[in-house]
Amino acid sequence: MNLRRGELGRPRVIGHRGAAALAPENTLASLQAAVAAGADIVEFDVSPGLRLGHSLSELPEQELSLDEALEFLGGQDVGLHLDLKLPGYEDEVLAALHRHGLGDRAYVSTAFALTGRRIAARAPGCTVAIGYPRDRVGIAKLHWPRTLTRAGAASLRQVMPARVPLLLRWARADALSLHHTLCSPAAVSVAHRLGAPVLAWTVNDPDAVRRLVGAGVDGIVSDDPGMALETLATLLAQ
Amino acid sequence: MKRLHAAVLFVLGFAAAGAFSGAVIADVTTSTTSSTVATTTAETTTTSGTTTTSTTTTTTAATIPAGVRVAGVRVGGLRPADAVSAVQAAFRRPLPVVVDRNKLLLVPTKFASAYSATAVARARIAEPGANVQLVIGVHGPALRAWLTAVERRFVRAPVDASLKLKLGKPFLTKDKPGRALDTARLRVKIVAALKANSRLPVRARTRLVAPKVSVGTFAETIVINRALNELFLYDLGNLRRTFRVATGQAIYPTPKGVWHIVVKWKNPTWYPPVQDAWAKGLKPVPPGPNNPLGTRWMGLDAPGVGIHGTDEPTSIGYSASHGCIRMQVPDAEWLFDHVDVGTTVYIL
Repeated sequence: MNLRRGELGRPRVIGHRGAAALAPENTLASLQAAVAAGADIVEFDVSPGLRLGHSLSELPEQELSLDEALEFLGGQDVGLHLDLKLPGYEDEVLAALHRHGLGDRAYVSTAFALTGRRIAARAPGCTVAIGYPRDRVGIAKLHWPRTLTRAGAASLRQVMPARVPLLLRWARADALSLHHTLCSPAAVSVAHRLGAPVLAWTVNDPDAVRRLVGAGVDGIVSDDPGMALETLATLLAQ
Repeated sequence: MKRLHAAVLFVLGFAAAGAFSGAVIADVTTSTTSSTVATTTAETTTTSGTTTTSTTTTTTAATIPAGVRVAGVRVGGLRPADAVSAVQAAFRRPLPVVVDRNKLLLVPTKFASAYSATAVARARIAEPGANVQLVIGVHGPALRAWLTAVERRFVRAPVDASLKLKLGKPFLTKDKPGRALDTARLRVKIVAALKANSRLPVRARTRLVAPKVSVGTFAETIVINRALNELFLYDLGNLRRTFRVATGQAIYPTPKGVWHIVVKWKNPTWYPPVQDAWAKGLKPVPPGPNNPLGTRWMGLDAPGVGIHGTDEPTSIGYSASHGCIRMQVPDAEWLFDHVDVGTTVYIL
Protein backbone atom coordinates (compact mmCIF):
# COMPACT_ATOMS: atom_id res chain seq x y z
CA MET A 1 0.00 0.00 0.00
CA ASN A 2 1.47 3.34 -1.06
CA LEU A 3 1.20 5.83 1.76
CA ARG A 4 3.11 8.74 0.22
CA ARG A 5 1.18 11.98 -0.08
CA GLY A 6 1.20 11.75 -3.86
CA GLU A 7 -2.00 12.50 -5.67
CA LEU A 8 -3.99 13.38 -2.55
CA GLY A 9 -1.95 16.55 -2.07
CA ARG A 10 -2.39 16.39 1.69
CA PRO A 11 -1.45 13.93 4.39
CA ARG A 12 -3.84 11.04 4.82
CA VAL A 13 -5.98 11.19 7.92
CA ILE A 14 -5.88 8.01 9.98
CA GLY A 15 -8.48 7.41 12.69
CA HIS A 16 -6.68 6.29 15.87
CA ARG A 17 -8.17 3.10 17.43
CA GLY A 18 -11.17 3.88 15.28
CA ALA A 19 -11.93 7.39 16.38
CA ALA A 20 -11.09 7.24 20.06
CA ALA A 21 -12.28 10.77 20.72
CA LEU A 22 -15.73 9.98 19.41
CA ALA A 23 -16.42 6.49 20.78
CA PRO A 24 -14.64 4.03 23.10
CA GLU A 25 -11.36 2.94 21.50
CA ASN A 26 -11.10 -0.28 19.48
CA THR A 27 -14.84 -0.94 19.41
CA LEU A 28 -17.17 -1.32 16.46
CA ALA A 29 -18.72 2.04 17.41
CA SER A 30 -15.28 3.62 17.19
CA LEU A 31 -14.54 2.13 13.75
CA GLN A 32 -17.94 3.32 12.55
CA ALA A 33 -17.27 6.80 13.94
CA ALA A 34 -13.96 6.97 12.06
CA VAL A 35 -15.62 5.96 8.78
CA ALA A 36 -18.43 8.44 9.38
CA ALA A 37 -15.93 11.23 10.13
CA GLY A 38 -14.38 10.62 6.71
CA ALA A 39 -11.02 9.18 7.74
CA ASP A 40 -8.90 7.97 4.81
CA ILE A 41 -7.57 5.09 6.85
CA VAL A 42 -8.84 3.49 10.06
CA GLU A 43 -6.24 2.31 12.55
CA PHE A 44 -6.92 -0.20 15.30
CA ASP A 45 -4.89 -2.26 17.78
CA VAL A 46 -4.58 -6.01 17.41
CA SER A 47 -3.82 -7.80 20.67
CA PRO A 48 -2.91 -11.46 21.17
CA GLY A 49 -5.89 -13.69 20.50
CA LEU A 50 -6.73 -11.52 17.46
CA ARG A 51 -8.91 -9.21 19.48
CA LEU A 52 -9.03 -5.45 19.22
CA GLY A 53 -7.45 -3.79 22.21
CA HIS A 54 -4.37 -1.90 23.28
CA SER A 55 -3.34 -4.73 25.60
CA LEU A 56 -4.96 -7.79 27.09
CA SER A 57 -5.95 -5.84 30.19
CA GLU A 58 -7.21 -2.93 28.13
CA LEU A 59 -9.57 -4.85 25.88
CA PRO A 60 -12.73 -2.82 25.53
CA GLU A 61 -15.85 -3.65 27.45
CA GLN A 62 -17.54 -4.75 24.27
CA GLU A 63 -14.87 -6.82 22.60
CA LEU A 64 -14.42 -6.98 18.85
CA SER A 65 -12.51 -9.70 17.05
CA LEU A 66 -10.11 -8.99 14.20
CA ASP A 67 -12.41 -10.88 11.84
CA GLU A 68 -15.39 -8.72 12.80
CA ALA A 69 -13.31 -5.56 12.33
CA LEU A 70 -12.04 -6.69 8.91
CA GLU A 71 -15.56 -7.73 7.95
CA PHE A 72 -16.89 -4.25 8.74
CA LEU A 73 -14.02 -2.19 7.32
CA GLY A 74 -13.79 -4.41 4.23
CA GLY A 75 -17.21 -3.13 3.24
CA GLN A 76 -16.18 0.51 3.62
CA ASP A 77 -14.19 2.76 1.33
CA VAL A 78 -11.24 3.15 3.70
CA GLY A 79 -7.71 1.89 4.15
CA LEU A 80 -6.87 -0.32 7.11
CA HIS A 81 -4.00 0.18 9.54
CA LEU A 82 -3.43 -2.77 11.86
CA ASP A 83 -1.22 -2.00 14.84
CA LEU A 84 0.23 -5.24 16.19
CA LYS A 85 0.81 -4.64 19.87
CA LEU A 86 3.11 -7.61 20.47
CA PRO A 87 5.19 -10.01 18.40
CA GLY A 88 4.05 -13.59 18.00
CA TYR A 89 0.87 -13.64 15.94
CA GLU A 90 2.01 -12.13 12.64
CA ASP A 91 1.04 -15.23 10.65
CA GLU A 92 -2.51 -15.23 11.96
CA VAL A 93 -2.94 -11.53 11.15
CA LEU A 94 -1.57 -11.99 7.62
CA ALA A 95 -3.85 -14.99 7.14
CA ALA A 96 -6.87 -12.97 8.27
CA LEU A 97 -6.01 -10.13 5.86
CA HIS A 98 -5.66 -12.67 3.06
CA ARG A 99 -8.94 -14.36 4.00
CA HIS A 100 -10.80 -11.06 3.78
CA GLY A 101 -9.02 -10.10 0.56
CA LEU A 102 -7.66 -6.92 2.12
CA GLY A 103 -3.99 -7.47 1.30
CA ASP A 104 -3.65 -4.33 -0.84
CA ARG A 105 -5.90 -2.05 1.21
CA ALA A 106 -4.23 -2.71 4.53
CA TYR A 107 -0.84 -2.27 6.13
CA VAL A 108 0.62 -3.26 9.44
CA SER A 109 2.48 -1.25 12.04
CA THR A 110 4.50 -2.48 14.97
CA ALA A 111 6.89 -1.13 17.56
CA PHE A 112 8.88 -4.37 17.41
CA ALA A 113 11.58 -4.74 14.78
CA LEU A 114 11.17 -8.52 15.09
CA THR A 115 7.56 -8.33 13.90
CA GLY A 116 8.62 -6.11 11.00
CA ARG A 117 11.25 -8.63 9.92
CA ARG A 118 8.83 -11.55 10.21
CA ILE A 119 6.23 -9.84 8.05
CA ALA A 120 8.83 -8.73 5.54
CA ALA A 121 9.95 -12.37 5.27
CA ARG A 122 6.50 -13.92 5.03
CA ALA A 123 4.55 -11.34 3.07
CA PRO A 124 7.00 -9.20 1.09
CA GLY A 125 4.12 -7.28 -0.50
CA CYS A 126 2.70 -6.14 2.82
CA THR A 127 3.61 -2.62 3.89
CA VAL A 128 5.11 -2.48 7.36
CA ALA A 129 5.41 0.69 9.39
CA ILE A 130 7.84 0.65 12.28
CA GLY A 131 6.60 2.58 15.26
CA TYR A 132 8.79 4.75 17.46
CA PRO A 133 9.23 5.28 20.32
CA ARG A 134 8.06 2.30 22.30
CA ASP A 135 7.59 2.63 26.02
CA ARG A 136 10.05 -0.14 26.91
CA VAL A 137 10.19 0.33 30.66
CA GLY A 138 6.70 1.61 31.38
CA ILE A 139 7.88 5.14 32.10
CA ALA A 140 5.07 6.73 30.11
CA LYS A 141 2.69 5.66 32.89
CA LEU A 142 4.50 7.86 35.42
CA HIS A 143 3.90 11.53 35.84
CA TRP A 144 6.85 13.50 34.62
CA PRO A 145 7.44 17.20 35.05
CA ARG A 146 6.53 18.88 31.81
CA THR A 147 9.97 20.50 31.53
CA LEU A 148 11.61 17.07 31.66
CA THR A 149 9.44 15.52 28.94
CA ARG A 150 9.87 18.64 26.83
CA ALA A 151 13.65 18.43 27.19
CA GLY A 152 13.61 14.69 26.46
CA ALA A 153 11.49 15.17 23.38
CA ALA A 154 13.71 18.01 22.17
CA SER A 155 16.90 15.97 22.47
CA LEU A 156 15.28 12.91 20.92
CA ARG A 157 14.04 15.07 18.05
CA GLN A 158 17.64 16.20 17.51
CA VAL A 159 18.98 12.65 17.12
CA MET A 160 15.93 11.38 15.22
CA PRO A 161 17.38 11.88 11.71
CA ALA A 162 20.26 9.58 12.68
CA ARG A 163 17.88 6.98 14.09
CA VAL A 164 15.47 6.84 11.14
CA PRO A 165 17.68 4.74 8.80
CA LEU A 166 18.51 2.33 11.63
CA LEU A 167 14.84 1.83 12.51
CA LEU A 168 13.87 1.17 8.92
CA ARG A 169 16.73 -1.26 8.39
CA TRP A 170 16.35 -3.18 11.67
CA ALA A 171 12.67 -3.74 11.08
CA ARG A 172 12.95 -4.12 7.28
CA ALA A 173 10.10 -1.62 7.30
CA ASP A 174 8.91 0.50 4.41
CA ALA A 175 7.18 3.18 6.44
CA LEU A 176 7.78 5.05 9.66
CA SER A 177 5.21 5.63 12.38
CA LEU A 178 6.56 8.36 14.65
CA HIS A 179 5.29 10.13 17.72
CA HIS A 180 4.31 13.56 16.44
CA THR A 181 6.79 15.44 18.63
CA LEU A 182 9.62 13.60 16.85
CA CYS A 183 8.45 14.49 13.33
CA SER A 184 10.95 17.19 12.49
CA PRO A 185 11.37 18.26 8.87
CA ALA A 186 14.89 16.78 9.00
CA ALA A 187 13.68 13.36 10.20
CA VAL A 188 10.88 13.30 7.63
CA SER A 189 13.23 14.20 4.78
CA VAL A 190 15.68 11.45 5.81
CA ALA A 191 12.81 8.95 5.69
CA HIS A 192 11.63 10.26 2.34
CA ARG A 193 15.14 9.98 0.93
CA LEU A 194 14.99 6.30 1.89
CA GLY A 195 11.59 6.01 0.21
CA ALA A 196 9.66 5.62 3.45
CA PRO A 197 6.49 7.61 4.14
CA VAL A 198 6.08 9.03 7.66
CA LEU A 199 2.93 8.71 9.78
CA ALA A 200 2.62 10.89 12.88
CA TRP A 201 0.70 9.78 15.99
CA THR A 202 -1.39 10.77 17.89
CA VAL A 203 -2.34 14.23 16.76
CA ASN A 204 -5.34 15.76 18.47
CA ASP A 205 -4.71 19.43 18.11
CA PRO A 206 -5.17 21.69 15.06
CA ASP A 207 -1.87 23.43 15.82
CA ALA A 208 -0.02 20.12 15.73
CA VAL A 209 -1.73 19.22 12.45
CA ARG A 210 -0.47 22.49 10.92
CA ARG A 211 3.04 21.91 12.20
CA LEU A 212 3.12 18.37 10.81
CA VAL A 213 1.87 19.42 7.40
CA GLY A 214 4.80 21.80 7.36
CA ALA A 215 7.17 19.02 8.40
CA GLY A 216 6.01 17.02 5.39
CA VAL A 217 4.45 13.95 7.00
CA ASP A 218 2.34 11.62 4.87
CA GLY A 219 -0.22 10.53 7.42
CA ILE A 220 -1.78 12.00 10.53
CA VAL A 221 -3.07 9.57 13.11
CA SER A 222 -5.76 11.28 15.16
CA ASP A 223 -8.34 10.34 17.77
CA ASP A 224 -10.54 12.93 16.09
CA PRO A 225 -10.20 12.46 12.32
CA GLY A 226 -12.91 15.06 11.65
CA MET A 227 -10.82 17.73 13.35
CA ALA A 228 -7.73 16.74 11.35
CA LEU A 229 -9.67 16.83 8.06
CA GLU A 230 -11.17 20.24 8.86
CA THR A 231 -7.78 21.66 9.76
CA LEU A 232 -6.28 20.28 6.55
CA ALA A 233 -9.16 21.72 4.53
CA THR A 234 -8.64 25.21 5.97
CA LEU A 235 -4.91 24.92 5.33
CA LEU A 236 -5.49 23.92 1.70
CA ALA A 237 -7.96 26.74 1.23
CA GLN A 238 -5.36 29.32 2.18
CA MET B 1 41.62 8.20 22.35
CA LYS B 2 39.47 11.31 22.54
CA ARG B 3 37.67 10.19 19.42
CA LEU B 4 36.95 6.79 20.92
CA HIS B 5 35.54 8.43 24.05
CA ALA B 6 33.34 10.62 21.99
CA ALA B 7 32.09 7.63 19.98
CA VAL B 8 31.37 5.59 23.12
CA LEU B 9 29.57 8.52 24.70
CA PHE B 10 27.49 8.98 21.57
CA VAL B 11 26.50 5.30 21.47
CA LEU B 12 25.62 5.34 25.19
CA GLY B 13 23.57 8.49 24.78
CA PHE B 14 21.87 7.00 21.76
CA ALA B 15 20.96 3.85 23.70
CA ALA B 16 19.77 5.83 26.73
CA ALA B 17 17.63 8.04 24.52
CA GLY B 18 16.09 4.88 23.07
CA ALA B 19 15.46 3.28 26.45
CA PHE B 20 13.77 6.34 27.88
CA SER B 21 12.10 7.47 24.70
CA GLY B 22 8.78 6.34 26.19
CA ALA B 23 8.78 9.50 28.28
CA VAL B 24 7.84 11.36 25.12
CA ILE B 25 4.51 9.56 25.17
CA ALA B 26 4.01 10.50 28.81
CA ASP B 27 3.61 14.17 28.02
CA VAL B 28 -0.09 14.36 27.26
CA THR B 29 0.06 18.08 26.87
CA THR B 30 2.57 18.16 24.02
CA SER B 31 -0.23 18.31 21.53
CA THR B 32 -2.19 20.91 23.43
CA THR B 33 0.13 23.85 23.21
CA SER B 34 -0.84 26.68 25.43
CA SER B 35 0.64 29.41 23.33
CA THR B 36 -1.10 31.34 20.63
CA VAL B 37 -0.17 30.12 17.22
CA ALA B 38 -0.33 32.72 14.56
CA THR B 39 0.35 31.87 10.96
CA THR B 40 0.85 34.83 8.79
CA THR B 41 0.93 34.47 5.08
CA ALA B 42 1.72 37.46 2.98
CA GLU B 43 0.87 37.38 -0.66
CA THR B 44 1.97 39.96 -3.09
CA THR B 45 0.17 40.21 -6.34
CA THR B 46 1.27 42.59 -9.01
CA THR B 47 -1.32 43.55 -11.60
CA SER B 48 -0.43 46.11 -14.22
CA GLY B 49 1.62 48.33 -12.03
CA THR B 50 -0.52 48.21 -8.87
CA THR B 51 0.67 46.19 -5.93
CA THR B 52 -1.85 44.58 -3.55
CA THR B 53 -0.72 42.94 -0.36
CA SER B 54 -3.19 40.69 1.44
CA THR B 55 -2.45 39.20 4.82
CA THR B 56 -4.21 36.16 6.29
CA THR B 57 -3.84 35.43 9.95
CA THR B 58 -5.05 32.24 11.55
CA THR B 59 -5.19 32.38 15.29
CA THR B 60 -6.14 29.67 17.70
CA ALA B 61 -7.41 31.10 20.97
CA ALA B 62 -5.01 30.86 23.91
CA THR B 63 -7.79 29.97 26.32
CA ILE B 64 -10.96 27.93 26.12
CA PRO B 65 -14.16 29.93 25.51
CA ALA B 66 -16.04 31.02 28.63
CA GLY B 67 -18.45 28.63 30.28
CA VAL B 68 -17.32 25.58 28.29
CA ARG B 69 -17.31 22.31 30.22
CA VAL B 70 -15.85 18.89 29.45
CA ALA B 71 -18.06 16.16 30.92
CA GLY B 72 -19.28 18.70 33.44
CA VAL B 73 -15.81 19.95 34.40
CA ARG B 74 -15.56 23.72 34.03
CA VAL B 75 -12.66 24.49 31.70
CA GLY B 76 -13.86 27.84 30.35
CA GLY B 77 -11.10 30.46 30.50
CA LEU B 78 -8.37 27.88 31.18
CA ARG B 79 -5.33 27.34 29.04
CA PRO B 80 -5.56 23.99 27.22
CA ALA B 81 -2.77 22.32 29.21
CA ASP B 82 -4.45 23.35 32.48
CA ALA B 83 -7.81 22.21 31.12
CA VAL B 84 -6.36 18.75 30.35
CA SER B 85 -4.99 18.57 33.90
CA ALA B 86 -8.37 19.62 35.30
CA VAL B 87 -10.26 17.02 33.27
CA GLN B 88 -7.74 14.34 34.21
CA ALA B 89 -7.93 15.26 37.88
CA ALA B 90 -11.71 15.03 37.72
CA PHE B 91 -11.51 11.68 35.99
CA ARG B 92 -8.99 10.37 38.53
CA ARG B 93 -11.41 10.89 41.43
CA PRO B 94 -12.35 7.46 42.75
CA LEU B 95 -15.80 6.08 42.07
CA PRO B 96 -17.45 4.91 45.30
CA VAL B 97 -19.03 1.48 45.00
CA VAL B 98 -21.19 0.61 47.99
CA VAL B 99 -21.88 -3.07 48.51
CA ASP B 100 -24.39 -3.39 51.36
CA ARG B 101 -22.74 -1.02 53.82
CA ASN B 102 -19.17 -1.42 52.64
CA LYS B 103 -17.71 1.42 50.67
CA LEU B 104 -15.16 0.41 48.05
CA LEU B 105 -13.23 2.92 46.00
CA LEU B 106 -12.69 2.15 42.36
CA VAL B 107 -9.80 4.06 40.80
CA PRO B 108 -11.08 4.93 37.31
CA THR B 109 -7.63 5.25 35.73
CA LYS B 110 -7.08 1.53 36.34
CA PHE B 111 -10.25 0.51 34.54
CA ALA B 112 -10.73 3.03 31.79
CA SER B 113 -8.94 5.53 29.64
CA ALA B 114 -10.33 9.02 29.20
CA TYR B 115 -9.57 11.01 26.09
CA SER B 116 -9.09 14.28 27.90
CA ALA B 117 -6.64 15.87 25.46
CA THR B 118 -9.02 15.31 22.57
CA ALA B 119 -11.98 16.58 24.52
CA VAL B 120 -10.03 19.73 25.40
CA ALA B 121 -9.08 20.17 21.74
CA ARG B 122 -12.81 20.13 20.97
CA ALA B 123 -13.50 22.46 23.86
CA ARG B 124 -11.17 25.06 22.33
CA ILE B 125 -13.41 25.40 19.32
CA ALA B 126 -16.70 24.87 21.19
CA GLU B 127 -19.45 27.46 21.55
CA PRO B 128 -19.32 29.33 24.88
CA GLY B 129 -21.30 27.44 27.51
CA ALA B 130 -21.20 24.10 25.66
CA ASN B 131 -20.60 20.81 27.46
CA VAL B 132 -18.11 18.73 25.48
CA GLN B 133 -18.42 14.97 25.71
CA LEU B 134 -15.51 13.07 27.23
CA VAL B 135 -15.09 9.69 25.59
CA ILE B 136 -14.15 6.97 28.04
CA GLY B 137 -12.98 3.53 26.98
CA VAL B 138 -13.72 1.01 29.72
CA HIS B 139 -11.31 -1.94 29.91
CA GLY B 140 -13.38 -5.11 30.23
CA PRO B 141 -10.76 -7.53 31.63
CA ALA B 142 -9.55 -5.14 34.34
CA LEU B 143 -13.10 -4.46 35.47
CA ARG B 144 -14.01 -8.14 35.43
CA ALA B 145 -10.96 -8.95 37.55
CA TRP B 146 -11.99 -6.30 40.07
CA LEU B 147 -15.52 -7.66 40.18
CA THR B 148 -14.15 -11.14 40.80
CA ALA B 149 -12.29 -9.78 43.82
CA VAL B 150 -15.48 -8.11 45.03
CA GLU B 151 -17.27 -11.41 44.56
CA ARG B 152 -14.63 -13.22 46.59
CA ARG B 153 -15.13 -10.75 49.40
CA PHE B 154 -18.93 -10.67 49.53
CA VAL B 155 -20.29 -13.81 47.94
CA ARG B 156 -20.64 -16.82 50.23
CA ALA B 157 -21.98 -20.22 49.30
CA PRO B 158 -24.65 -21.44 51.72
CA VAL B 159 -23.56 -24.21 54.11
CA ASP B 160 -25.89 -27.18 54.42
CA ALA B 161 -26.64 -28.71 57.78
CA SER B 162 -25.17 -32.16 58.24
CA LEU B 163 -25.77 -35.10 60.51
CA LYS B 164 -23.06 -37.48 61.68
CA LEU B 165 -22.84 -40.10 64.34
CA LYS B 166 -20.19 -39.45 66.96
CA LEU B 167 -19.67 -41.93 69.82
CA GLY B 168 -23.08 -43.44 69.27
CA LYS B 169 -24.83 -40.08 69.39
CA PRO B 170 -26.09 -38.06 66.44
CA PHE B 171 -24.04 -34.93 65.90
CA LEU B 172 -25.48 -32.01 63.97
CA THR B 173 -23.60 -29.24 62.21
CA LYS B 174 -25.64 -26.11 61.68
CA ASP B 175 -26.63 -24.71 58.33
CA LYS B 176 -25.52 -21.21 57.33
CA PRO B 177 -27.19 -19.00 54.78
CA GLY B 178 -25.07 -17.76 51.85
CA ARG B 179 -24.86 -14.40 50.12
CA ALA B 180 -25.22 -13.78 46.39
CA LEU B 181 -24.33 -10.66 44.40
CA ASP B 182 -25.56 -9.81 40.92
CA THR B 183 -22.13 -8.83 39.56
CA ALA B 184 -23.37 -8.61 35.96
CA ARG B 185 -25.78 -5.88 37.02
CA LEU B 186 -23.11 -4.17 39.12
CA ARG B 187 -20.77 -4.22 36.12
CA VAL B 188 -23.37 -2.56 33.90
CA LYS B 189 -23.89 0.14 36.55
CA ILE B 190 -20.14 0.78 36.93
CA VAL B 191 -19.61 0.95 33.16
CA ALA B 192 -22.49 3.41 32.90
CA ALA B 193 -21.07 5.55 35.73
CA LEU B 194 -17.57 5.56 34.19
CA LYS B 195 -18.91 6.41 30.74
CA ALA B 196 -20.96 9.26 32.14
CA ASN B 197 -17.90 10.34 34.19
CA SER B 198 -20.17 10.28 37.24
CA ARG B 199 -18.77 9.83 40.73
CA LEU B 200 -22.09 9.32 42.49
CA PRO B 201 -21.94 6.12 44.55
CA VAL B 202 -22.87 2.95 42.70
CA ARG B 203 -24.87 0.76 45.05
CA ALA B 204 -25.32 -2.99 45.12
CA ARG B 205 -26.92 -5.29 47.65
CA THR B 206 -26.10 -8.89 48.38
CA ARG B 207 -28.99 -11.31 48.52
CA LEU B 208 -29.52 -14.00 51.16
CA VAL B 209 -29.33 -17.55 49.81
CA ALA B 210 -31.02 -20.23 51.91
CA PRO B 211 -29.16 -23.53 52.35
CA LYS B 212 -30.65 -26.58 50.67
CA VAL B 213 -30.48 -28.65 53.86
CA SER B 214 -31.37 -26.86 57.08
CA VAL B 215 -30.99 -28.15 60.64
CA GLY B 216 -34.75 -28.65 60.69
CA THR B 217 -34.33 -31.53 58.25
CA PHE B 218 -32.64 -33.45 61.05
CA ALA B 219 -35.03 -32.50 63.85
CA GLU B 220 -35.72 -36.16 64.71
CA THR B 221 -33.06 -38.81 64.50
CA ILE B 222 -33.43 -42.44 65.58
CA VAL B 223 -30.49 -44.48 66.86
CA ILE B 224 -31.07 -48.20 67.42
CA ASN B 225 -28.51 -50.09 69.46
CA ARG B 226 -28.77 -53.81 68.66
CA ALA B 227 -26.58 -54.91 71.58
CA LEU B 228 -28.76 -53.04 74.11
CA ASN B 229 -32.04 -53.66 72.21
CA GLU B 230 -32.86 -50.02 72.73
CA LEU B 231 -34.16 -47.28 70.41
CA PHE B 232 -33.16 -43.67 71.12
CA LEU B 233 -35.09 -40.77 69.70
CA TYR B 234 -33.08 -37.57 69.39
CA ASP B 235 -34.46 -34.13 68.75
CA LEU B 236 -31.88 -31.75 67.20
CA GLY B 237 -29.14 -33.84 68.72
CA ASN B 238 -30.70 -34.03 72.21
CA LEU B 239 -31.98 -37.31 73.60
CA ARG B 240 -35.75 -37.14 73.91
CA ARG B 241 -36.93 -40.68 74.64
CA THR B 242 -35.57 -44.21 74.98
CA PHE B 243 -37.60 -47.31 74.11
CA ARG B 244 -37.00 -51.00 74.67
CA VAL B 245 -37.17 -52.85 71.36
CA ALA B 246 -36.59 -56.31 69.93
CA THR B 247 -34.07 -56.66 67.11
CA GLY B 248 -33.12 -59.48 64.77
CA GLN B 249 -31.99 -62.90 65.98
CA ALA B 250 -28.41 -63.93 65.26
CA ILE B 251 -29.48 -65.71 62.04
CA TYR B 252 -31.74 -62.84 60.93
CA PRO B 253 -29.71 -59.81 62.06
CA THR B 254 -31.09 -56.29 61.79
CA PRO B 255 -28.85 -54.64 59.12
CA LYS B 256 -26.28 -52.22 60.46
CA GLY B 257 -26.01 -48.81 58.78
CA VAL B 258 -27.61 -45.49 58.07
CA TRP B 259 -31.18 -45.79 56.88
CA HIS B 260 -34.23 -43.62 56.48
CA ILE B 261 -37.93 -44.05 57.12
CA VAL B 262 -39.42 -44.30 53.65
CA VAL B 263 -43.01 -45.31 54.38
CA LYS B 264 -45.52 -45.02 57.23
CA TRP B 265 -48.65 -47.13 57.47
CA LYS B 266 -51.37 -47.16 60.07
CA ASN B 267 -53.05 -50.52 60.82
CA PRO B 268 -51.02 -52.42 58.25
CA THR B 269 -51.77 -55.81 56.76
CA TRP B 270 -48.88 -58.23 57.27
CA TYR B 271 -47.70 -60.00 54.12
CA PRO B 272 -45.25 -62.87 54.41
CA PRO B 273 -41.91 -61.71 52.93
CA VAL B 274 -41.54 -63.77 49.78
CA GLN B 275 -37.75 -63.88 49.77
CA ASP B 276 -37.45 -65.40 53.25
CA ALA B 277 -37.51 -69.14 53.92
CA TRP B 278 -39.06 -68.81 57.41
CA ALA B 279 -42.18 -67.19 55.92
CA LYS B 280 -42.86 -70.01 53.49
CA GLY B 281 -46.47 -71.21 53.57
CA LEU B 282 -47.63 -68.35 55.84
CA LYS B 283 -50.72 -66.34 54.90
CA PRO B 284 -51.24 -62.53 55.03
CA VAL B 285 -52.66 -61.25 58.35
CA PRO B 286 -55.24 -58.43 58.22
CA PRO B 287 -55.19 -55.58 60.78
CA GLY B 288 -56.23 -56.79 64.23
CA PRO B 289 -54.91 -58.13 67.55
CA ASN B 290 -53.01 -61.02 65.88
CA ASN B 291 -51.17 -58.85 63.34
CA PRO B 292 -47.40 -59.28 63.87
CA LEU B 293 -46.87 -55.58 63.00
CA GLY B 294 -49.22 -54.33 65.71
CA THR B 295 -50.93 -51.10 64.62
CA ARG B 296 -48.07 -49.09 63.03
CA TRP B 297 -45.45 -49.72 60.35
CA MET B 298 -42.47 -47.41 59.67
CA GLY B 299 -40.65 -49.02 56.76
CA LEU B 300 -36.93 -48.33 56.18
CA ASP B 301 -34.95 -48.24 52.96
CA ALA B 302 -33.20 -51.38 54.20
CA PRO B 303 -35.15 -54.08 52.27
CA GLY B 304 -37.92 -55.73 54.25
CA VAL B 305 -36.92 -53.98 57.49
CA GLY B 306 -39.09 -51.59 59.47
CA ILE B 307 -40.01 -50.34 62.93
CA HIS B 308 -43.37 -51.64 64.04
CA GLY B 309 -45.61 -52.73 66.94
CA THR B 310 -45.98 -56.40 67.88
CA ASP B 311 -48.35 -59.16 68.90
CA GLU B 312 -45.58 -60.66 71.08
CA PRO B 313 -44.95 -57.98 73.75
CA THR B 314 -42.81 -60.37 75.79
CA SER B 315 -40.17 -60.52 73.06
CA ILE B 316 -39.32 -56.81 73.57
CA GLY B 317 -35.85 -56.39 75.03
CA TYR B 318 -34.45 -59.43 73.23
CA SER B 319 -32.90 -60.25 69.91
CA ALA B 320 -35.96 -62.16 68.80
CA SER B 321 -37.19 -60.82 65.43
CA HIS B 322 -36.56 -61.74 61.81
CA GLY B 323 -34.65 -58.47 61.28
CA CYS B 324 -37.31 -55.86 62.03
CA ILE B 325 -37.37 -53.56 65.06
CA ARG B 326 -40.32 -54.45 67.29
CA MET B 327 -41.76 -52.00 69.80
CA GLN B 328 -44.59 -52.11 72.30
CA VAL B 329 -47.80 -51.12 70.51
CA PRO B 330 -48.31 -47.82 72.47
CA ASP B 331 -44.60 -46.94 71.96
CA ALA B 332 -44.87 -47.61 68.22
CA GLU B 333 -48.01 -45.46 68.05
CA TRP B 334 -46.27 -42.63 69.92
CA LEU B 335 -43.15 -42.82 67.72
CA PHE B 336 -45.33 -42.96 64.61
CA ASP B 337 -46.83 -39.59 65.54
CA HIS B 338 -43.43 -37.99 66.19
CA VAL B 339 -41.34 -38.91 63.16
CA ASP B 340 -41.76 -38.15 59.49
CA VAL B 341 -40.85 -39.96 56.33
CA GLY B 342 -37.18 -39.10 55.68
CA THR B 343 -36.09 -39.42 59.31
CA THR B 344 -32.55 -40.82 59.57
CA VAL B 345 -32.24 -44.15 61.39
CA TYR B 346 -28.81 -45.26 62.59
CA ILE B 347 -28.56 -48.92 63.37
CA LEU B 348 -25.49 -49.79 65.41
